[in-house]
Amino acid sequence: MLIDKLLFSDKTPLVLKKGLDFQSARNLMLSTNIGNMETPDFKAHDINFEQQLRDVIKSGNQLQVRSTNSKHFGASDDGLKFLEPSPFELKDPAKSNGNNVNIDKEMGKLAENQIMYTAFIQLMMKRGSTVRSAVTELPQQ
Amino acid sequence: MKDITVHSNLKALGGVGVPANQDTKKIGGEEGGASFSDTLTESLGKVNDLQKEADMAIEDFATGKTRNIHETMIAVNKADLAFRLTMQVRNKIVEAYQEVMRTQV
Repeated sequence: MLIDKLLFSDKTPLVLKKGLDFQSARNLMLSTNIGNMETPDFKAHDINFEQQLRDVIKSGNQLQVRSTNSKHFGASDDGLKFLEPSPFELKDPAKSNGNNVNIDKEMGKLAENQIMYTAFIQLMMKRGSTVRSAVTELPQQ
Repeated sequence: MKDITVHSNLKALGGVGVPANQDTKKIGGEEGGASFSDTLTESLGKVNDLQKEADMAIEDFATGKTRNIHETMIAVNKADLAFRLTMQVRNKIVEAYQEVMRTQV
């Protein structure tokens, strides 16, 4: 469907959608870290969306797909479409109880994550409103 | 955007009614100057480029290549505004065309 392609399955909307997926997952992860700041032997986890996205886009660029017919499909976005957050453990030094959550850092990350989430939503809405204007604006009779 | 062939459509319109004499050439402006359809096609291309730029800006922002939220927002807003302006210009053109078509001869 055209609307679907414009809003959700083209590359940029897909990047935005994945970004929101990752940021909501990260929000959950950071909240878990903060919630477990006193749990013995708990290790803080995080995900890096930018890094993962860069990897996918770069690997997509390395694979050169040439179309010799206008009916050919382009390079697939599957790498991006099935991108999943891969959490990693933070290497920060642990306290005496084996817990390495740094509350100040986590709070900072949480605030940053929230700002990014809002920014992505704003960008998505702006793109949507452009399409909406094309759909609803009629020539004046 | 590629599918809209303003050029061919406008040329087709030019053939209607008025015989192709020197008077119609004068409407296009000075000799050798860009014609109306050229200007329009060029503007549409520019709007399309702006939208591509905005998409690139969004991608750069998402991959962390740039940390500037404002630049991304400016690019997207620029593309949106340019598109809306194009819409309104198109509306005016269609309106003018309909006005001419309604004229009693």
